[in-house]
Amino acid sequence: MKKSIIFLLSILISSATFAQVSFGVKAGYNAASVKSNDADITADGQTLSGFHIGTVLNVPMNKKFSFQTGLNLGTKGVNVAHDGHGDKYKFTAIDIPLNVVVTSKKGLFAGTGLNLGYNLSGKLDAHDDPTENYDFEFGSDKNFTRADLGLNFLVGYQTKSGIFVSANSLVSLTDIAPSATSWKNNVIGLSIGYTLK
Amino acid sequence: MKQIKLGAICAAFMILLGSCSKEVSNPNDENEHEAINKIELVFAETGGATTNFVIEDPDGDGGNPPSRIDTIKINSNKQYNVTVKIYNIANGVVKDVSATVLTQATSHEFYFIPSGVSVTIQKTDKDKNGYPIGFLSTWQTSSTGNGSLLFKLMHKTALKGPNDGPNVGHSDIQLNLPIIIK
Repeated sequence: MKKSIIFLLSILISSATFAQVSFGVKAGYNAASVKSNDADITADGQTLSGFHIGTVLNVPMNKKFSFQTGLNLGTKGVNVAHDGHGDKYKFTAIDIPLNVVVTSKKGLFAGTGLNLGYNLSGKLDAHDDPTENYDFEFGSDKNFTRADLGLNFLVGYQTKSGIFVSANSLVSLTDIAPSATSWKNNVIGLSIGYTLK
Repeated sequence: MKQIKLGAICAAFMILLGSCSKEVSNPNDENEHEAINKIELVFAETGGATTNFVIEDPDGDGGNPPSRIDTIKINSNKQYNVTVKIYNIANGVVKDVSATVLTQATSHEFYFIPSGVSVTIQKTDKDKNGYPIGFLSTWQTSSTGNGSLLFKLMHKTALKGPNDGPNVGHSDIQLNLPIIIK
């Protein structure tokens, strides 16, 4: 799997030298949720609002299709309603999307691909009692693991001036809870960005 | 035309940004339980007598201190089978919450942390995932002494593992109990 990704990247990077590569920046809102078999989350899990900031590297493959990647920093997790308040299970993660994107002449674009995620940190924010805040431990025998492979789905619109808006859905394929509980981080992101010409 | 399109998309974006969720738990959530305001610790000495110790805390975890805390008095060099019973008392009606929490055992765990006394505590019951619960435990005392026992019930949504520390999750019960080994 790793060899295939490196091979694909090397082809794309080498082809980039012959194509007009563009670079952009973006920021926006993350609506995070969790797919879990835990009864609390199933019953009372709610959207956790957060943010993302990131970069976009667009490598044209032909007139319509391009390979798009970047480096994003954002929040994931879930808000669990409990006794009239929300306990926030919050992760800060880095994501590297590996998307194939098709763009229309009018500036509409859509894409999909893999997402390489890595959880930098995480905590339980016990809203009713800050003394009970808890920093997650990461490892194969801890609360969660760090690596998080997922799928991206992306739609958006870009003006000729380079400003773009986009919406993306990140669906995790990785159960990051080593215990009997399952935990997959999902995110719907809304971004505003600018592509440098 | 394109500016109108972009404006509409931005407006939709801002509306979504401004939306927020209400932090109200599902009233039919089977994983919630009543506030615990009475606790009974039942100590059955191997080959000896059974003694109950009671803690009453009308407003539950946090808030005002408990109205009643029995000092746990047990014998040195003895083994005990200990059972925890938890109750909700509201408007004079007593409800046994133990069974409710037992059905939610995969997200709950008791902790017994002695200080100043010599006692080895082993939780003996397990949830369906094979992780400890703590409604049942064995206590092996050794020398005499006075100390305290930090008694906790942790609610560990999605975080419960086989060897968690006592600070994982949030507490449904957290009490310091006096203990004498005589």
